[in-house]
Amino acid sequence: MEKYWLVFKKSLKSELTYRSAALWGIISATLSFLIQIFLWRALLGTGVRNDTSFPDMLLYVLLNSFISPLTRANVAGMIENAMIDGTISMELLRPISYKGYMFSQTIGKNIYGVVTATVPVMLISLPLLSGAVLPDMVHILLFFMSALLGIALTFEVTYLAGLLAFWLQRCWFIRFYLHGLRSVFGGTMVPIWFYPEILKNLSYFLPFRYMTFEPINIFLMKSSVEQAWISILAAFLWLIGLSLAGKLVWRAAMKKLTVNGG
Amino acid sequence: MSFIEVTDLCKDYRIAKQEKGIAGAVKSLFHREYTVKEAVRNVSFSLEKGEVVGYIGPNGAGKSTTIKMLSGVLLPTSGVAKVGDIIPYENRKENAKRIGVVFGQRSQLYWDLPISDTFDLYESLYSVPKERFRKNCDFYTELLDMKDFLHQPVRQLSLGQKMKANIAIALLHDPEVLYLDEPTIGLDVTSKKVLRDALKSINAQRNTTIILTTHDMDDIEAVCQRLIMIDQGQKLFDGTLEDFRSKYNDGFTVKLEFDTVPPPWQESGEYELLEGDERHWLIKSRTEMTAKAAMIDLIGKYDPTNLYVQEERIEDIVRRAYALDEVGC
Repeated sequence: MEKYWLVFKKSLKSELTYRSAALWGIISATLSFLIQIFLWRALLGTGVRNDTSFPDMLLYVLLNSFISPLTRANVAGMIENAMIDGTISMELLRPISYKGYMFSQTIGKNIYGVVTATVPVMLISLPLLSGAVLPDMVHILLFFMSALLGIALTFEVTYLAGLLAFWLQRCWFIRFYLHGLRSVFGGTMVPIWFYPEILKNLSYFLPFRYMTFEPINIFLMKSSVEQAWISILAAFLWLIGLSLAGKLVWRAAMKKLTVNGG
Repeated sequence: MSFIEVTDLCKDYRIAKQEKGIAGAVKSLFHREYTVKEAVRNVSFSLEKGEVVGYIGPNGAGKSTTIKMLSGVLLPTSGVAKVGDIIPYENRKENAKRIGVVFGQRSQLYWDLPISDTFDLYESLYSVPKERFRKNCDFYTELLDMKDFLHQPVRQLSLGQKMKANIAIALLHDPEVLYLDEPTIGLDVTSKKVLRDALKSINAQRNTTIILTTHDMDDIEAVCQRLIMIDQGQKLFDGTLEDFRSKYNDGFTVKLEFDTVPPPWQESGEYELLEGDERHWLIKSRTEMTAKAAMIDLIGKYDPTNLYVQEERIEDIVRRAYALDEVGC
């Protein structure tokens, strides 16, 4: 375990060397937060639609803007680059699981940006949060469980899709597809409760809603304790299924691997 | 049962044919033809623990591919490689703990961080005991003269400095086997010597098995007792350095430089003119003549301004060796 912790720390430290990148990250995070807030303010007015009040939406956007960037990973891109210049062979020389390495690397890379961007976004939203209902202890615990599973699940999906890089060689588009699927079926843009029935039902059969939507639902106490457990179980099953699939695909990928450039 | 056992190892690559121009690119969207390149063909050899072997061959001979299979990165198409009872490509992580690898043209270092950070990472990756790690760190920092740049970000280091760091990293966990793929690329003469001495002393003190690929015959002479030569994926020679010399290296080349137009070349059985223009001649001796005798003879005959004696490059030896073997069978 210690080695993954170290990969995480080193990846974080690498990220810290570029301070201006963090600054621009803060600005863009703040702007996109503001845009969403204004949009929802205009849409909802001060009333309640579909059981959704403005403070609910504020919390929704807030939580989404923490969890999503934390799991933002371009595993396909990382593998693609490593394949193009052949550094994949160096990574495979290390006595460490490639997936674990990728995961620690991803979280280490993202966490700095998330933490720095959190501060201004929090400051902006604090005065607006007065009318929000905060969850009870049970829901908070369930939220953390569900959020952790969501983070793991997001990584698992990105990793599995990223492994396609071994076959495709060039795969910049995978990221866009993943992002699109997450926006639609994961409800990162518009909460799924506003969706038409057919899309709503479809989302239950895909892993994306368990990434951030379900954890946030629990936090907003829109899910009962029973519903929360069901969604946690579903996320857990997805996680197991996908990680088994990941193992198989990885094995096939190793057979397929060629190393470029001597 | 030897320590490293390689039996009938083969590796094929499938290469998509690309036709020229945009029309070709569009065509390849719909239909693609592949050619199979046999990078390694039925290579077998075995090494005992503590052997130092030079693995040579021209560019594209399959050296790196072999090393990648031995280090568990690539799966062979057929055949078996075993390193100390482990099949590397089946137990990649197990195998990785016991080996150190340097690919001369690649870096394992964190680009944005100082070398010392990568050292930390490797300490935990290989679970090296703290004390031994410190000792090794100090030892290799001293040996490879890295003190001055240990705390600079890697992106600001020179090629040679990075190379030294990569070599140190491959050694920090006291590996049983060391694979070095062109480790002297980019090093200056002093550093090359330092590295060769270091390899010799590591082998002597720790009984580390070393496989070294290189294009520099001096590397081989300095550290290797044994030599394996491959070309186009096939093993051509496996034996001691002396055997190699007596089998293939039957001479040296002499380069003559002229200030004025040189006298006409006299064809003889003793020398062969490999290349020649108005100012330079590259001559190979055909007989068992010593370099000294050849120098005196050539100076007497042609009176050049400058004269250099060069050892044959591995490429030339291999080229000739290959031709010899073709004729031989």
